[in-house]
Amino acid sequence: MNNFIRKFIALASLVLLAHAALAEPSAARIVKLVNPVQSTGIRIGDLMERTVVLEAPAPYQLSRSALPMKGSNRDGIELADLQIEKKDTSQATRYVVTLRYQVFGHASAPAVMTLPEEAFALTGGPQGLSLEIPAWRFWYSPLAVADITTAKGNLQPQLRPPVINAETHRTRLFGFLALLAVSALALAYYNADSRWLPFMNGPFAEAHRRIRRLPVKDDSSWKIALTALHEAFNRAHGRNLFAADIGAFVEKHPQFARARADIAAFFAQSGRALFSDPPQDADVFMKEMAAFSKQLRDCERGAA
Amino acid sequence: MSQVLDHQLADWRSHALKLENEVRKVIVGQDKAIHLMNIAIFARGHVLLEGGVGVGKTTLLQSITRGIGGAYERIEGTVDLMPNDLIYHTFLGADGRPQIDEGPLLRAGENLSVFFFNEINRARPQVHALMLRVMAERHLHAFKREYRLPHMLVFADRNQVEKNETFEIPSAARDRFMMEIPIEIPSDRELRKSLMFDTRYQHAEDLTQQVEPEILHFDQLNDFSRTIQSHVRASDAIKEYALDLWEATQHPEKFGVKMDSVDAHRLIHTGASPRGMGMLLKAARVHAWLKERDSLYPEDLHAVFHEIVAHRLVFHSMYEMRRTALSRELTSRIIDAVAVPAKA
Repeated sequence: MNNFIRKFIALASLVLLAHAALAEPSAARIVKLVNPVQSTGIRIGDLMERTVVLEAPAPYQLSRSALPMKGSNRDGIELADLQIEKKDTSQATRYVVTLRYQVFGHASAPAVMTLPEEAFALTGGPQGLSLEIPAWRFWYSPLAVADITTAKGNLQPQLRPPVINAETHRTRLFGFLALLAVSALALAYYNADSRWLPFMNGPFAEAHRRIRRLPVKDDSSWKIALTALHEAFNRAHGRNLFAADIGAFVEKHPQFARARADIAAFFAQSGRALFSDPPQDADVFMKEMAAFSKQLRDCERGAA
Repeated sequence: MSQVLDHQLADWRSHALKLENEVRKVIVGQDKAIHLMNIAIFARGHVLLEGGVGVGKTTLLQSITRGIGGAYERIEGTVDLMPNDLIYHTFLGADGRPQIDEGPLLRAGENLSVFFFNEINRARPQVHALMLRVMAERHLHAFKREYRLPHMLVFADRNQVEKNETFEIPSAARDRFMMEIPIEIPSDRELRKSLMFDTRYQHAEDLTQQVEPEILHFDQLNDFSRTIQSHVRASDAIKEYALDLWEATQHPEKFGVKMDSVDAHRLIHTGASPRGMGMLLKAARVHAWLKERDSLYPEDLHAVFHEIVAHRLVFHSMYEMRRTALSRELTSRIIDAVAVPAKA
């Protein structure tokens, strides 16, 4: 009986060990491997990065002491940096290992180089485990051609960068700038009170400026305003303009045709004010004169 | 009172305009002259008529006289006309004895409303002197008594074409006339055709009879003229303007008056007289009244400016031969150049 028990225990132990030996290594795995995007045109000094995601089943841990050595140089490829991120779960531990290599190897002609294979040891379990990532090959491109003997021979003529034809854009730019300038001038011409340009000093523009500057409350302002307007009419007509001459004036200066009725009304109003009954409300009268002089200024500038 | 005055002014205005219309019906192509004569009648000013022969001056004056009422007298200027011919004339009566009758100036007495002196410049200066004195004083001492002519207006015609046996009216004499009105031959072809072919224009007397008689009351014109003068106001601005116009007749160059063929600086010897400017304002007030205004406007002055000022101007002798054309140009240029309101 004792012999049977001993045999049974031995058999059970053997089964358990066999199960452990078969089950644990198969759980540790490389979940993901990300190699550099570019595999050609790599030059000396370039940095290349590989990222590997490992999963170690509990109780295994990534052995820190068995990691690739930072600064180790293999065939001209130096491991410049190594970073590990760790994330534990109840069943396993997941590691994100970032390997950053820098190329120090050189060749005088394009050559295939290799990011070396790496092995990661997992410890803490009943037996040591190891996960490996394969080597990754890339094309190295030399900075200089192979057979140069002097720098002069390797010099390449400096070429001016190809010029983009901007003629169309330049033409448009100048066109728009000209349009902007003309628009600004037109805006100023139509609306400005000041004399910015010689052709802005027409008789009615000048009269309008004078009237705007007159103090509204002053008793003599309305007379000065009327005088300014009559002077403007006389200047525009080339001689004194009276009510009977309005038709001839409008015929000679058609830009005032739309204001003909207002001009006739002004002469009637002016006659009453100057020769018959002075205006009762000078304030209102001055506002009317300012508005009328502006209307005539707009006519003069062809803006009405 | 104001309403009564307004009514009176409106009533007289309608009569004045009616007189113009009536005369226009029989005298064609002289609308402006008729209007100016109407103004002279209400301003009580004597008138010089300027124009050739056969343009209808007599018919015009007879028509006007019929419209305003009163008597019409006329005398022809001749080189042998003497002052006494205006006052009396002698003749042998039916009884064979010499008799004296009143001349054309006195014949109608106070009823004389229009006296037409045809070709006044053919008469001698003595005649001018008497005539001008009567025009100014409107009374005359004759036959040991005073003859008053309070309603008389003198219309005198100057023969501008012929220079032989004429005596130019001196400037002081011309100044007594309120206006010199041109009576021009109508330029419109249709009017000329009417004057030639319309038979009703062949009989001047019949034409005159077509005018409604006594539209105005000649013996009330003096009083009403005073009413007009007191009724129509002159603002400060118009006074300043009238003063500028006066100064421009004396020194046109000061106002920038420029003429085409003459240096304005050398043209004027003597400008308008104070009497002339007084008459200008008087006639302008009548114009304002006819336009239904109680205030003087610049256009009232313009309406009569040339007719009142031109014959008063004394040009340097080198320009006298071109007086008619130059005076017309000068008065136009003065109106064009003298600003109202005056420049600030």
